Amino acid sequence: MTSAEPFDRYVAEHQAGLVRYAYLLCHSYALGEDLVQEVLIRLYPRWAALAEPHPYVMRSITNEYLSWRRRWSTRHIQVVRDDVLHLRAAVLEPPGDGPDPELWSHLLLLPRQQRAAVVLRYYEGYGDAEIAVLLSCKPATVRGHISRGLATLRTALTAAEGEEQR
Amino acid sequence: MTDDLERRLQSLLADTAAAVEPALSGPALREARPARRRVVRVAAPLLAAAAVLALALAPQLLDGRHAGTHPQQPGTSGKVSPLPLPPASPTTPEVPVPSRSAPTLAAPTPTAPTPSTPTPSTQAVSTSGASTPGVSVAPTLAPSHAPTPTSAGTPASASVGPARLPTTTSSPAATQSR
Repeated sequence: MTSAEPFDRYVAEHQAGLVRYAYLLCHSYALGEDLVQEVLIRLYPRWAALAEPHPYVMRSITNEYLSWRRRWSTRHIQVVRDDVLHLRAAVLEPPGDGPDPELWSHLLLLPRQQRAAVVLRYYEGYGDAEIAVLLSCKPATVRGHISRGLATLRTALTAAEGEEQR
Repeated sequence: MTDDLERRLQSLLADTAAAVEPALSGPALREARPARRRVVRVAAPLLAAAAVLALALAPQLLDGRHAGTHPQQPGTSGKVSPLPLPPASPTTPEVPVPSRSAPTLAAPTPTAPTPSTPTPSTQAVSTSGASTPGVSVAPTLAPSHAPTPTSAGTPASASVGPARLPTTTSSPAATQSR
């Protein structure tokens, strides 16, 4: 219980950034808060043993997001498929609300590894080595995730522009 | 093309993340806290004023309660009043009725013996009182003068007076018949 004060200080300083990062990963504010809360609860008993807590918390949140679908599928009964859920999310959140709704909707359709790598690169500004640590993979794999993700987005945007021109 | 897409991604992620405000540590919560403190600032003087008012009115309210316990009988209330209560007597309900004592005080007035002086003037007054059925002082005082002829209160007693008039004035009539 001696780690209460540093833990409180860290949460007060980084909670907003952690929730924003989790929101960009899962596109759900409630789920992002749940991810951050679950990670912080799990790390609190051994908080004093962490020399650099922030990278470890970021990695834990990323892993929680990547493994969430596995555990979610074992805990809950999924009555609809993922693509239907994405369509429902697109309907519930009109494209006119966000700053770039078209790009945001295509970003949601990326695989989880690619999406996490893109968010870590273009939101957090991390390099390949840092992203590789967080994703527990090699830097070359990170580059592959980012390049494939950007290619998917570019193809989707080009197709959307072609449909608009018609 | 790639640079443009990367710039769009950076701006999109930055704007989207800026729109996210955590519920527990966002600026909205910091702006809401002074509002709650304002409520406390308003409520604290009100509570203080209410407490002072209650302390000021407490002695008066307690005196009022003690005054209210005086007329209660000891058996009706389960509490024993600290102040000495007046002894419960059957005459106490009759004390606050002064109107009934008025006829008793006026009782000596009829003692003026009107029947003892059988003057015609007094008998004429008695006949007028008997003819009117209205309530007057004389019928209430009648029991003290039961043996008197006016105490009957009947119209027949009124005929007594005029019956005597011929007797008193019989001498001129007799003289005429003579």
